[in-house]
Amino acid sequence: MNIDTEAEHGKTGNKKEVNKIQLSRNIFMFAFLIFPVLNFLVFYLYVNLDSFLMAFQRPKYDGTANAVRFSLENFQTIINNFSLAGGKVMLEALKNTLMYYFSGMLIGLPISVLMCYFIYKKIACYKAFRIIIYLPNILSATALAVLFRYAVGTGGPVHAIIKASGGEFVYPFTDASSANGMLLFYALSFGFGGSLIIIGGAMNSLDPEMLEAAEIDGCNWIKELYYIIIPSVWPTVATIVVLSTASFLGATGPVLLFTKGSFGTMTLSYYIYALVSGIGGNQDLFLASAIGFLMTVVSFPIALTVKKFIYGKEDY
Amino acid sequence: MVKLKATVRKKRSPSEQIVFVIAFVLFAIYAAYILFFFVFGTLIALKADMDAFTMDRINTKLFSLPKNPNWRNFVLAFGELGMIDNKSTFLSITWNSIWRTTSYAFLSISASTMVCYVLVFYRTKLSKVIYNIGLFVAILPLYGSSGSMYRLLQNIGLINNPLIMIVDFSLFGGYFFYTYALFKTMSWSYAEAAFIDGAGHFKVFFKIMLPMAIPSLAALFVMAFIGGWNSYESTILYMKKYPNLSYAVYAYSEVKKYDANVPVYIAGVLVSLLPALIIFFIFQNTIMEKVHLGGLKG
Repeated sequence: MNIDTEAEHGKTGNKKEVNKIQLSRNIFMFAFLIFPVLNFLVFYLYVNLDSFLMAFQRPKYDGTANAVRFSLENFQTIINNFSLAGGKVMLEALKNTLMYYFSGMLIGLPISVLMCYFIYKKIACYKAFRIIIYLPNILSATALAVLFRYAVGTGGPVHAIIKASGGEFVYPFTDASSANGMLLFYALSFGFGGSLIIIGGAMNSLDPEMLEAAEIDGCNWIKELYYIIIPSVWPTVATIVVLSTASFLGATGPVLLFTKGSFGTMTLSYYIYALVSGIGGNQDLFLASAIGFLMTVVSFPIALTVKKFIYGKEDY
Repeated sequence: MVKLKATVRKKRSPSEQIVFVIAFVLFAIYAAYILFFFVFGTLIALKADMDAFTMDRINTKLFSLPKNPNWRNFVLAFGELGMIDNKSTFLSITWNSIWRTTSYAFLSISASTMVCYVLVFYRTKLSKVIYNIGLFVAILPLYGSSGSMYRLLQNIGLINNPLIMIVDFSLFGGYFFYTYALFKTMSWSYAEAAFIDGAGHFKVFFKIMLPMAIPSLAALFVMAFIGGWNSYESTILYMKKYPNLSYAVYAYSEVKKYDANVPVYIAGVLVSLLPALIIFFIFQNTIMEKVHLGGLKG
């Protein structure tokens, strides 16, 4: 007899009654799970298995719809794209992807934690700051990008300042020497609020009596931050690090909105997106799958290692 | 509560005061940086005509309101954004944003609510397996499936088809772990009492447990709604024939790259931001206070 079922109904009965209770329980579970599970089987499991197969396929072009042949051509193309002959696009994409990941982890996340700390400590106007810092996360990226593009473009304030100082203005998103830097600046400067709710929430759940006791013991703000607050929110920060690291090859800036991968700004995930959407006039679902397959193979052991390093043997 | 206030209001040491003043200045500069884009956008949007957006005039008069602010640009913007293709209008684009965003937020949050409720309160081997798969999916994301997804959706006729919304009813979408954590904090004793009184499983869910979870689920719904409203990448891939406002802002700059009416366009951009802004300001306390990683305040 199912103990849970007994508890639910607060009674025990004969076998027939228990079977009836168990049946109604199973019907309820089935009704609630069936569609999400089917969705998972089709749009996650099947899609990813098919994606795995597509990595080793090429279209046949023999007039038959969806005809494919097995081939390693996709991987050959990827290898070529690492070399000069292939324009080194994969190398560039890998380099830029790592740049976005590391800048997010080493610059963005620490600044976010510090911001959360000062907001938690109720710095003057903290409520207004909290809303303003979070604004970029609730506004459309396309709209924000348009405003940014005009601000740094011809006729904007950056142009005005350069012009006033006698310098030569070059639109930063069409110059290979500045495009990546400007994209990174955009991504970082509008990204601090991303962790505001999560890390701020973790800080808000700290016991104020603990901080009070530390203060009585003569703990200054640096010690408070270093010895109490950061260790207390570490599980939350660690979760962000683990999840970001697990998907580190997916790190990307707003490439689609500004450069579409031109001027040395390609990233791995944008490369896949461009191959699927056909932006740039070259739709290749099979090559996209092969790149994704390789990214998964590379990121799996790294994600597992980081998870083990941060959490030890503790279950996630 | 009294203790908390006492902690917060305690007098800061001189070194702490210096640090907080520096931090305040940095916060103020950063806030000004973010707000600047809206001021800048408004100034452009109020220019009298396209000619006003020229290098010299905008440089010299950037931070001054135009002598005759052209508020009409905000009206014209409604027509301008509809120019992204030959059949869209501002109304149709807005309607697409509304129904697509609402269905996305509703379906994704509904699915995670139903799934997490069962996983938390109906513990079986199956529910444990499903939860562990969820962890696996979260920690080890698979890349590059968008090509396969596109092919599947194309083959079953869901590209540019409103029925594509069924994809949103997913097992691990809709803030799965937040919802899971929410139900973990809720007491099952109310349900037990209802079962003793003869209530069935569906009645317990809809009449007792769901109403208790609604405030926190509403926070997730708002977050999902804002995310959906701003989504444009999926529109480019799958729903170009049903453009939403976020996509329209992107598409306009592509379509009218060389002959855009910039002041009217920027007015349209600002108008497109309003719904998300209004919803955020109405629900900001709900979002800021309710949502935690690994927990929702019930």
